[in-house]
Amino acid sequence: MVRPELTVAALVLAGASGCAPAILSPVDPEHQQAVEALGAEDPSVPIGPLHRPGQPCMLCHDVGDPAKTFTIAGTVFRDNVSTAPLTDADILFVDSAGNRFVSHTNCVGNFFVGLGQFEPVWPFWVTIRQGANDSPMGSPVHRERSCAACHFNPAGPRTAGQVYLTSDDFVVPMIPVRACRPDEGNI
Amino acid sequence: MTVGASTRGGRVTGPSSLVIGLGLAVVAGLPACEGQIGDAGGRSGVRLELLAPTRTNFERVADAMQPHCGTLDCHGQAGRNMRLFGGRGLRLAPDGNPLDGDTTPAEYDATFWSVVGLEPETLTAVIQDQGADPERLSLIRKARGHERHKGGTLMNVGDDLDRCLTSWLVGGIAEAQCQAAAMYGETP
Repeated sequence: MVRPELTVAALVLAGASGCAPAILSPVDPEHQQAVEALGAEDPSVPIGPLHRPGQPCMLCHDVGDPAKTFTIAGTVFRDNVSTAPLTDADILFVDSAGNRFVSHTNCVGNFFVGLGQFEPVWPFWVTIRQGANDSPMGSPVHRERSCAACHFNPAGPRTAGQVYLTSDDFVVPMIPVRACRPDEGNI
Repeated sequence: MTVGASTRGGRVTGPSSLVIGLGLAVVAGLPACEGQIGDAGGRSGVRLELLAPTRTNFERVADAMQPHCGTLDCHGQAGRNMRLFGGRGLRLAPDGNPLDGDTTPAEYDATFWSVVGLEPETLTAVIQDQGADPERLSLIRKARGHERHKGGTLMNVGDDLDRCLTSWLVGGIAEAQCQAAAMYGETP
C-alpha cells in the first residue's frame, strides 16, 4: 500500500521538476505531437471521408478518439510519383485466420474499415485491385492500422513511399481518375 | 579498449562493461563473423566470456524472421533495439528502399549483431546449455507469445519458425523449417 505522505511528496517533486502535466494528465505527449504534426485541416475540404488523404488516419480514428472509429484506414494513389488518387478500387484484406473483407477507395483515394465491419486476426495481408490491375503488398501487416504510418513520402530506407497501384508507365495513363460527387463528402 | 572481430568458435570475450560493444559493432559494420570484444591492456579485473550462435548460414534464420518480425510496422523500424534489416523491410543503405529487393550481406550482418546483442549474457547461458530452456531469451518468449508482445504470438513450440530459431541457438540450423518459415510473407 502506498503511504499518503509519500504520494504527496512525489507529486511535489514532480511539480518542482516540471513533470507534473505528464504525470497528472492522461494526455500522451508523443501522440499529441504526432497529431499536431499533421497540421490544420484544408479549409476547402469538409471534415469527413475526403479529408487529409495520405495521412495516418488512426492517429485520430482509433478507439477512444472523438472521431469516428476505424479499424484500418489509409489512402491509395494511382502511382508512385503523383498525387493522383486511386479511385473506386477494391482493397482486399485476408487475415491469418482466412477471414476476408473488401473495402473501397473513394474519390480522393481514401478507404476506411469501420468498427465492427472487420477486425482482422493479425497479421493480415492486403491487395489493391482496380479493374484488371492488382498489386499485393509485399509483406504482411502485423500491428499497424494506418497505411501512412509506414507508407509515407519520400521513399527511403524506412519506407516504401506512398501506397500506390502501379509504377508501370504504360499502365498508369489507363487508370481512370474521376472527380468527387457532391454527396461523397458526407459520412 | 579495442573492438575487433574474430572467427574463432563463436566466442565473444570482454569485460562485462563492454557488452554494449556489440551494439557498437553493428554501427562499425564488422565483417560477417563471430565477434571478439577485448580489453587490449588487460587492465580490467573482471572478464566475461560471451558466446553467440554461428553467423554461418544465419541468412536462413534472418529470412525466416523477416516476414514474421521484420516488417516496417514492427522490428523493421530503426527505433527498435531488435532491429531487423532486409528486403521488404528496413534497409541499411541510406539510398535503399524496402522495394529494392533482396537482403544484402551487410544487412544480414547488421541483423545478426542486433539479435545476438539483445541479451548477450543470457544468450551465452543458453548456448552453454546446448539450447536448453530457450525461453530465458526474450526473443523466444515474445515470439511464442509467452511474454507481452505487441506483435502477438508469432510462433508456437515446434513450428517452423520456432524450430528455425531454436536450432540456430544450438548450432545446427534447421534449413527446411527456416525455408518454410520464410515463405510466410507471401499473400495467401
